[in-house]
Amino acid sequence: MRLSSKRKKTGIVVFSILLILIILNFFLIHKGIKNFFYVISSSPQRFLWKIGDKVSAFLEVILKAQDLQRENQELKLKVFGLLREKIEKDQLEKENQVLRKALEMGLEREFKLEIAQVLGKDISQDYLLINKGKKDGILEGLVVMTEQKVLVGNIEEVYQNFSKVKLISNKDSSLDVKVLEQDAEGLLRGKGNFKLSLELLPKEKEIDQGDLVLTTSLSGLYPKGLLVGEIEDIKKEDTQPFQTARVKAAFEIGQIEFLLIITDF
Amino acid sequence: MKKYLILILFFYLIALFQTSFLVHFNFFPFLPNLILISQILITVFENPKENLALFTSFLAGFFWDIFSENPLGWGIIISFSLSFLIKIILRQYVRIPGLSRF
Repeated sequence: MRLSSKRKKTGIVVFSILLILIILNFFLIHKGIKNFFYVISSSPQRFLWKIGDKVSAFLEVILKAQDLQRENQELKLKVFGLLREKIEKDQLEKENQVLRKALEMGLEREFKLEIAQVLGKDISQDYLLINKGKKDGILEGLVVMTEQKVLVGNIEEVYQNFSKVKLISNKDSSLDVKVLEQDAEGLLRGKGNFKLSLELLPKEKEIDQGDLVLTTSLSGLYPKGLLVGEIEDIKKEDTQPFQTARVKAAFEIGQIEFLLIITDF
Repeated sequence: MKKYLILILFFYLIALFQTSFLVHFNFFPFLPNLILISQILITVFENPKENLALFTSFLAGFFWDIFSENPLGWGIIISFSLSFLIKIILRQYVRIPGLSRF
C-alpha cells in the first residue's frame, strides 16, 4: 500500500515536470533558461574549449603520425609512378617526332621501317645497343639510319629483345659509296673511333672538301642515296693508283636517341 | 540536501566537459556521452530504497538539453525512460548478492 502511494507520488512528480517543460517550450521560456546557463557558463566553457583544443591537437598528431607516415609513403609511390609515366610520355613524344620527320621525308614510301630506341653506346668499339630484337622481326645485316636518312650502320647481332648495331665507323665495316658532286665511286672503310676513310677513288676525279658521300646499291646490302658524310680532306699521291679521303660521318653519336631500321627496301 | 547540491554541480560540470572539451576529440571512432553514462551508473548502483535516480535522470536530461540543440525536455524524457527501464530490469531480473548500492 505504501509502495503504491510512493509510486503514485513519483508518477505525479514526473508528469508535473514534463508538463512544466512542455509549457516552457510552448511559451519559448526555455530560451531564457538556456541563455541564463550560457551566461554563467561562458567563462568555464571558454577555458575548457581552449584546453580541449590543445589536448586534442596534441593527441591527433600522435595518433595520426603513423597514418602520416603511410600517407607519405603512398604519395612517394604516386610521385614515382607519375615520374615514370612522364618519362614514358616523353619517350613516346620523341618517338613520334622521329616518325613524323621520317614521314615528312617520305621515308615510309621508300622503305619498310622499324623504329628503335638506343639503349647503350659502346663508343670505343663503334657499337650501339637498340631495344628491338628477334621478336620484332629484326634480322642480322639490316641497315640502320636516322630519320634524316643518314646511314648509321647495320645490325650485327640479334637477341630476343635487343640488337647490336655495328656503326659504319667500325673497323670491320666497309661499303660502296659515291661522292655526289663528282659521281665518283669508292669504298668506305671504318677506321674505328668514328673515323671513316674513302678509298679506291679514281685519281682523275676532282674531289673537294665538303663534298657529300652517299651510299650506292652496288653491293645490294645498302639502299642507294643514304647520306654517309662529307669529305674532310683528300690524299692524292703520285705513287698510288687511287686517291683516298677522310670522311666525316653525318651522324652525331651523342645526339642519337632513336634509329630507323630498314626492314625492306 | 548536500548530496543533491553535489549532484547538481557534478552534472553541470559533466555537461560543460562534454560540450566544451570532449567535442574536440572527434577523430576518435566514437565519443562517450558522459552525462548518460553517469546517470546510468547512478541508477544501477543506487540503493533500491532511495529515489535518487529520478532526480539524477532529471538533472542529466536537463543539462544535456541546456547545452545541446534539443528542445527542453527531450533529454529528460530519454533519461527518465532509461532510468525506468534499468530499474525494471534490476528489480525483476537481476540479483547481485553482496553488491552494495549507495
